[in-house]
Amino acid sequence: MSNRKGIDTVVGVLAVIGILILVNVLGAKLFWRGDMTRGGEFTLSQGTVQTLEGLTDPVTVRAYFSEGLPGPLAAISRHVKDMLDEYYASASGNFRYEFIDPTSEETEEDKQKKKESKRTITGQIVREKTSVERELERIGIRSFGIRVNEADSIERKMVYMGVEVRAGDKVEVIPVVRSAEEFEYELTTLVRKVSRKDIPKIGFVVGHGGPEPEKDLSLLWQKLERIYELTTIDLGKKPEIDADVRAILVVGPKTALSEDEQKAIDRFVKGGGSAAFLVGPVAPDPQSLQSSPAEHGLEAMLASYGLKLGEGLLLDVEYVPIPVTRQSGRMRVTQTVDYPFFLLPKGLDRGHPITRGLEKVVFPFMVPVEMEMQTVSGVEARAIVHTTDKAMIQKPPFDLNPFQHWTRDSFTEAGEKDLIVALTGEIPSHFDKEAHAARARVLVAGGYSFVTDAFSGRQIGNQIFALNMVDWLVMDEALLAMRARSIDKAPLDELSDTSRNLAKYLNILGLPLAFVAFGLVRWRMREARRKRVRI
Amino acid sequence: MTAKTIAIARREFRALFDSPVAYIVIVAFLLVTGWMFFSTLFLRERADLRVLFTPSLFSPAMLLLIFAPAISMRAVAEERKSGTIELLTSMPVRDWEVVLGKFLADFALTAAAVLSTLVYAITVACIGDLDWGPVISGYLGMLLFAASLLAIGLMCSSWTDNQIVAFIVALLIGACLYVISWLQFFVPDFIAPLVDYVSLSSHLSNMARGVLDTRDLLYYFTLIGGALFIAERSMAHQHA
Repeated sequence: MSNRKGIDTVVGVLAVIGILILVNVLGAKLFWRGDMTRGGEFTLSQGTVQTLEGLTDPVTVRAYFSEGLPGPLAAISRHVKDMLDEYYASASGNFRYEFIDPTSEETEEDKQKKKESKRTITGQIVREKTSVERELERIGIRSFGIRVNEADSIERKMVYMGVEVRAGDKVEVIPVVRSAEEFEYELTTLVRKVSRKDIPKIGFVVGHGGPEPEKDLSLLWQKLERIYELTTIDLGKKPEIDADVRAILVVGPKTALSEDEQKAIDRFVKGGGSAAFLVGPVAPDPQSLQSSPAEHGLEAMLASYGLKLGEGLLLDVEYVPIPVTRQSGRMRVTQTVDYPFFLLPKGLDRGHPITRGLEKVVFPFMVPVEMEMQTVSGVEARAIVHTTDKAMIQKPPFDLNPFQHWTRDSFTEAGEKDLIVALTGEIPSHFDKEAHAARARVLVAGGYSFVTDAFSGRQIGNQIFALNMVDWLVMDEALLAMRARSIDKAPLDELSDTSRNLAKYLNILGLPLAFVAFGLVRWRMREARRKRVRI
Repeated sequence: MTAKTIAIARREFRALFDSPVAYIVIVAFLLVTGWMFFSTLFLRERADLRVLFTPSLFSPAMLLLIFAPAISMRAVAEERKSGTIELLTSMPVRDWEVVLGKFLADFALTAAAVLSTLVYAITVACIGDLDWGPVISGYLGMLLFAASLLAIGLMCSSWTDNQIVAFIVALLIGACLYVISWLQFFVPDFIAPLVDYVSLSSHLSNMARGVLDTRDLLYYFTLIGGALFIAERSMAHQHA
């Protein structure tokens, strides 16, 4: 009897476990996901939805993700799959996707090749690439190595986490999806690029000894290349900007632009083109930190826009220390030194699309941009980056020596100064006083080192700032909003050390102590009650 | 849920707070959790509580892995050891009412410890712009995670009259389910997704990010339901 009951119990338990497993299997197919984050970090942004609704031709996405990715990589894989489902649901027919394990595409011949590995003289194991590997390599999707358990031993295995976006004969790829948070921005950017009939063209004005975009601004160039069509414009050779260019960037010319060149820029802005002038009076050398003067010759044109560049370099209490290498005897020693020329302003306009959500953007060697808008009508000027009210100025000749004594007497008090000003509206023409642009955007920065690879172009904050700047110039608000969302992580308020410690220790110790006190009070009350009880 | 279940839960909960057990558990949990959270808060400079919920080898979830079996180990094992289980089962209550009542009492104690950390959320909200959405989903995740561990603990407690054995077995099961997703490096490819799904921590990390997914909720509810069902069957079998 007892045996029978035991069997019944086991069978019952197994049946219920089976049902619960089945429920989970079904639940994995039919599920609902809700995004609790304020900014909808895990929900498609408005920019993506608009992009998908606007698709007129089919876009095909192939996500190449290897099976059995471990831990955090599996989470990214799952996120990508879920997001592609969301894209598919929002696109009303013109968006298709496949989620492919590259090994599932291998032919018998490929499988045979994978078995036939050879050992080189150095002991390295090599084998011929499969057709799938060759094809993915051809389109730009890279494999990378992870450690996995194969046949009871830890081995290095090559896996894929790349995405191909195709529309007609246009193909773009994300070689490796590195972060779940940035995936939507990356994918939507590529969907826009392959599906757009006219990709906005951005021109870098070159010459005059300024930085070469593809070499000195290579990080920015590579990132912009994924979104826009890029071109260089040498106004010295041909003082004309093509009509299909939507925005130009004038970055750090060392010699003055001629009148013809300035006229070409003026005509471009008058015609509704947008322009960014990243110019300053000093061209710093990244190796020696020596300065040479820069004469861009744009003062008069900027004055027509109501802006004036200051002459002195700004120093501020909000800065980043920099590593400096110097010879000490026979040794080369690298040390971190305070360098107030590398401004790290907290004064970023949180309401402006370029600076929204940004925190750490480094601005080296900047001069102030002063607004004199009284003479200009129909233009909205907005300072989007400014210093603290403790900023100081070093007047020429400039001494960029990082080992100098930073005494207040060596500099002039400047107070709060603007570093970057954004103009929108009827930008007046400098050469044709009667004319103005119907609707244009101009951005003026008192320096250009913040976009160069050699100084701060490698900082994530600087890269986002520069990309935002270009998106704003071509009026791509959807991209701006999406990027701002991906980086919008709420910072803590500035607190004194005392306040920090108070918050810290009150929470760590105060809360447990409160429970101890509660327990003691309760114990004393029980004891008192017990004493009152008489039998 | 019946009145009897609630009566049992209330009696158990009061008994926990009449002994030093509840205070030791809550105070130890808050001390370690507080230190884990606030020692990095001002370094991270982010107004969020993700560190509090994200499972790792050094996280509040790891603490619950130890505390939950410690709380639930006595639930049935102690009654069996002291012989009061006979008294309890002779009363007009069903086994599932006993199991559920004890589970609810243990859960209330654990929830008191976990929800006490809401003070951290309030602190962060005072010094930054806290997004409450992920905080809510994080707490829900932590409570479901703790409830799962308690249900497993109760199940183990119903198998033996030795509290230490119950604690160790529950700790082992919980630890296996907790770290299994990190062992994906060591399992063959084809079971890696299954291993990820079975893991307690991978479901918690999803909710810690601020994503509410029915797959995560279903996993926790079925795990809790399954463990409590086995506990009830075990009790029923032993006094049959």
